[in-house]
Amino acid sequence: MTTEMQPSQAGAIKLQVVKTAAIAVLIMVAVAALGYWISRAYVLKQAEKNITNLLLSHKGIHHYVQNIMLPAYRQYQEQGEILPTFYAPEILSSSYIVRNQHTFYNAERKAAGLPELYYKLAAHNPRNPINQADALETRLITMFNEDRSLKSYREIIEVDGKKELYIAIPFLENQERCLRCHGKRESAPRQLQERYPGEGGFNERLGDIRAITSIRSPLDKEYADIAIIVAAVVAGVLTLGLLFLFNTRLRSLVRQRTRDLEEEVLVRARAEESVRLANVELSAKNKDLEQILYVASHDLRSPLVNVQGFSKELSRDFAAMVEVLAQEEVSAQVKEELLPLIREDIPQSLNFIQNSVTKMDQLLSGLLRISRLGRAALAITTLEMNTVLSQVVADHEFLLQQHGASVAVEPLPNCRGDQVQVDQIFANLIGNAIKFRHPDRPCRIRITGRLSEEEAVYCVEDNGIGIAPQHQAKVFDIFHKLAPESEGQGLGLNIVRKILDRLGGRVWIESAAGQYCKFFVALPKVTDHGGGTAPTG
Amino acid sequence: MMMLTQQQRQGMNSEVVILIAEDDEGHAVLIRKNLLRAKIANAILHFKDGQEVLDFLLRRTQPGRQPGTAYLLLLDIRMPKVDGVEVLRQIKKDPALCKMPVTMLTTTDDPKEVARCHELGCNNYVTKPIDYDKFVQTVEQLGLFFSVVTIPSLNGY
Repeated sequence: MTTEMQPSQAGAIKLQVVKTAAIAVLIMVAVAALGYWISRAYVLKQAEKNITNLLLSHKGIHHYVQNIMLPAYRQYQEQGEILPTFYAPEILSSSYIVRNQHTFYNAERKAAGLPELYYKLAAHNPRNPINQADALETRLITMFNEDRSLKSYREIIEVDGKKELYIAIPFLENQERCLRCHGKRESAPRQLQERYPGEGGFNERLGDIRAITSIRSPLDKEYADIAIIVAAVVAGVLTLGLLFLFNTRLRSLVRQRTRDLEEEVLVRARAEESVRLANVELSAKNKDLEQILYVASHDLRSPLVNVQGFSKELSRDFAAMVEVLAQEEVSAQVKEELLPLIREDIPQSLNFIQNSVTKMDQLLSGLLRISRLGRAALAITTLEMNTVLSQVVADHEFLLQQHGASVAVEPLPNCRGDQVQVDQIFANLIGNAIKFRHPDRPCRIRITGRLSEEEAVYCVEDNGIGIAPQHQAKVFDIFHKLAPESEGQGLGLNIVRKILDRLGGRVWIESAAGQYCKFFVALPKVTDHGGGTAPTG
Repeated sequence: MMMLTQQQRQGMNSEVVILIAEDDEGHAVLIRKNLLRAKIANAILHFKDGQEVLDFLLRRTQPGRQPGTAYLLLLDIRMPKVDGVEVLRQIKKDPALCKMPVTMLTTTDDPKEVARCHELGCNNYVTKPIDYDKFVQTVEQLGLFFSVVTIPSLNGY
């Protein structure tokens, strides 16, 4: 598995991360701007609402004074309850009442922990200097007078370094009844003249806008709220963005790994498929080979039947001829020339023919045996090897006695295999040990065994003529005979190897020429789940 | 070597015709010689492959199988055109032929092949030995076999 990414892949991922980061920053900025805008609009709206509420409440007081108190005052004057000359702004001026009421209102606000609201009925020409318009207000009074369609003015201003929403609304245009108190000084109520000695509040003209309602609502606290909200939103978006970025990176990594894995799986599948195909091909070829071997050895035997059959027929015919030649009528010369041929030369030739046929037949039988070996069904069971070996040794009892040989079998581990085939392996090895015994000493065969990590390994050791190192590799070849004059077809060890190939085992050799020979046979050992308690074949 | 008594030889129905299906001319000659030597004097017909013997038995050629005559067949396995196993299969599924004794006479001693032929219903399975003496003995035994089995004559259909 590749743990390192390819440079191009790393580049692609980096580009993707940069793109994602850029998108995240853009989104964050947009969200912050939107948040700021929405919060600001909300804050302004709240401030405006505060002001509107205040104005409405002031208007209510103005209306009360104008519509209830003043008519009642005049009625009481007419009825003589109140002196006709009586006037007190404290109880008769709506502006006075509203202004002073506002002072108490602010005090209450302050007590309740709320910011005070600036309120002023600002005028050019106020009766009370406290109402004197400041520069902005003076400018606005002029503006409202010049453009009567304007109904309000709205601005965010800075007062003592703090932001406030400022709203100005034009006061009433002067009407007849207003001029009773705001017209000529001499026509105003006496108490008014006495109370306000200056010209302030007098000499107003009909139709003029005398004053503006000037209100301010602090925005600082709200702006702090906006800052907190925006900061929170930005922090949230930033976190989300980072999470998203991380997620994207993670996903691209996962995708990359997944691709790598898929590729690897694909490569493995391909490799397995080609191994499988190779196996199929191999087993098909093996089958072909077995078939060819079988047919060839069978078909080759057919002519041999003829060669031997007819050479025997010839022997028989020549025997008959000898009888004929032995008759007296046959001339001495013919007898002298033919009889040696028929009695010696011809039988010798026929003998060679028949011996060759026999040998050929043995070779073919060997081939047939090998081809059958490959086709025989295997019954794999757990083999108790000491039982197996004692049977094999018993089968060789006669041969062993005949050659003064002996076999010692030590305790052997069990293994997994086909009993018939395993019998054959040890029969061949014991047979070989007897066949290739040393002429100077009695043949001693020792069979030992041990368990390795994966196999049961057996050793058939003899004290025979041994095999020189340069010949050891070839002894398992088919029809290979180190001693051409020895009996047999040179198949024994080839069969041993073939059987072990089929049983998943191995065979190898260790030998010193003239001293000993050890054949090692490894077979699958009995595993816990390999049927350790299975009955032996 | 088993010697056959005169009585046993006389037991052989001399009307029985021996059919030999054998692609190897030499083998056929050797079989014939040894049968004669075993004093089996029945008529012998030789066919060179499976197709020929089937044609004869199923009367696809003239002269074909004669109604009312008893036959026995010595059948080789590996032959051109139609092999012995196929011939055996066709004989055993034909109601007119299935009672005819069939002896497989072949070079193969493969146990699988032997089992297959017995499954298909051959009466006897003889391996051609390379050893001539054994061969002679085998043919002699065949003669004995022929002398003790009752060979049904095949009716006409």
